Amino acid sequence: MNVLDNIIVSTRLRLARNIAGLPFPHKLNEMSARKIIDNVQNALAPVDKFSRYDMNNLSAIDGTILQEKHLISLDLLKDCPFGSVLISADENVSVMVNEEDHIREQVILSGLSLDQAYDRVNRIDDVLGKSLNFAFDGRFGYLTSCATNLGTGMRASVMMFLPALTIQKMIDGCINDVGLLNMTVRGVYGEGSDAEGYLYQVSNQRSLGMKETDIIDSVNGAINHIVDAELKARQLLMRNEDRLKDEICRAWGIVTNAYRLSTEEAMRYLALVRLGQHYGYIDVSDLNVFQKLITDCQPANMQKSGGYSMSADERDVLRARHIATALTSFCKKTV
Amino acid sequence: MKCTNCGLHEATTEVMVRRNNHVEKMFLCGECAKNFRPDMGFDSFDMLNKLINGSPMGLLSSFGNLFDTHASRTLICPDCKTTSEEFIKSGFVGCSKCYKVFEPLVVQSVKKLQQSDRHVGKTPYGYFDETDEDRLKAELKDAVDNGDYGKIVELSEKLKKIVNNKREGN
Ligand SMILES: [Zn+2]
Ligand SMILES: [Zn+2]
Repeated sequence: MNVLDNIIVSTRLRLARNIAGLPFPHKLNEMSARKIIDNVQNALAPVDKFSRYDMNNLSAIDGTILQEKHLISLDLLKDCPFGSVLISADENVSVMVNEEDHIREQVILSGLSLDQAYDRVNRIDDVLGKSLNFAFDGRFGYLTSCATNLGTGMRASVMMFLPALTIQKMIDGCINDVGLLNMTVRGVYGEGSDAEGYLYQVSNQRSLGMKETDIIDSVNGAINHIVDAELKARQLLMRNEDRLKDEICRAWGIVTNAYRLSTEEAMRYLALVRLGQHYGYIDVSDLNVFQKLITDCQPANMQKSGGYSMSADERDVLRARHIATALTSFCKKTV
Repeated sequence: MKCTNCGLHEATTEVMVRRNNHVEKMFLCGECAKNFRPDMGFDSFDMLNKLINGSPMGLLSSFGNLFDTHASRTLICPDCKTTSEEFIKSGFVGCSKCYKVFEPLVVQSVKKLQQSDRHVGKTPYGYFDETDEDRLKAELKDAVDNGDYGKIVELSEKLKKIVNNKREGN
């Protein structure tokens, strides 16, 4: 495990595509929308086994579970009556249909894997492109319903864990720096505060006038810059090492001993435990399992594992028990 | 004379449009004339004032600011009826045709947003751009020389497509 693994959580690469000759989803009638879903499903069949979820007959909780796993967007869940998603068995590929665009091909991988993610999504795009006629223009590239995605239709995003920059209020400066590189930084669960686990999404703003590989290079450049800044900020936190140790040990104490934990508390203290891994205060045998724990603790995922009739209080009790059991099985406090 | 709304077809109808404090003549094609409604019509609008808000992705919070104030009258897409006002307000278009109808506005906005107005990345399966034309012509000549009938048909089809695309584009 290297320092990058602690800072970089996952990589997501998506390509926006539309079918030529049909209006974009917000102007599309139900019949055409349903037809697109079927066509995409058929076109995907040779690639892998995909499970299909149509938004109009998905329960609210099952929909939220997919959204908490970042397999679908909140927009698809809330605002797209004819929306659908096709998800690969390993949950690394998600193809949203009739969201903002007819097709959003996405690959999600753990760690920093932009090249691999592009390679995989590109191959899926090749397969889809052979049976579906994509809307394309020689000047503007792939035509998308929003002009901000024209060109490659590509967004490369990296989810980063940036506690030191956030705690020391240095994150805004960092966001400005990468803004100059045409990148955007957003909190994954909102603003990226402590209760949201200090998680941020860094992604390219430009999709037109740059080749796919150049976009990836530019995102990698921005990531390197942010990693350096976060590492420096983590160094600064060491100036008061006793306090840092104390905060992290207290967080460990809470997540392994509390009887009840809300989602916010879980996010806040698990983030400190993850930071503890960086300093060697906590031994974590697998950071991907750690990240999965954070997804498991989101309300809808918790509800599913505990039974649909659970109250919010019962859920908090179950969450505390689940986290304590999981953490003590693959993590250890070493100070 | 070309239609003053879409700029695509020959104008056949003359209409009067009220813009702020004066009335202006416009010449419309059949399609645009059908969509023209005197009540809401192609009324004038101030590109910079109406905008902001309701952006889909933060990025667009100032989409309207991407346009020059002197930009022109409302355009309407004949296929999906999206108006240039809607596009400017939201950054969204309704269909592929919109990009032709609003092309000057699209160019204005993406030049500022993306620092470019020309795609350089991947192209879809079976897509040929103009630089392919010469290559195809050379291949066709070879095919004719070799009497490869199947190849001749295939290449002529492709070439015909490119020529047609060009004609549509301009
Ligand atoms: Zn017209
Ligand atoms: Zn249109």
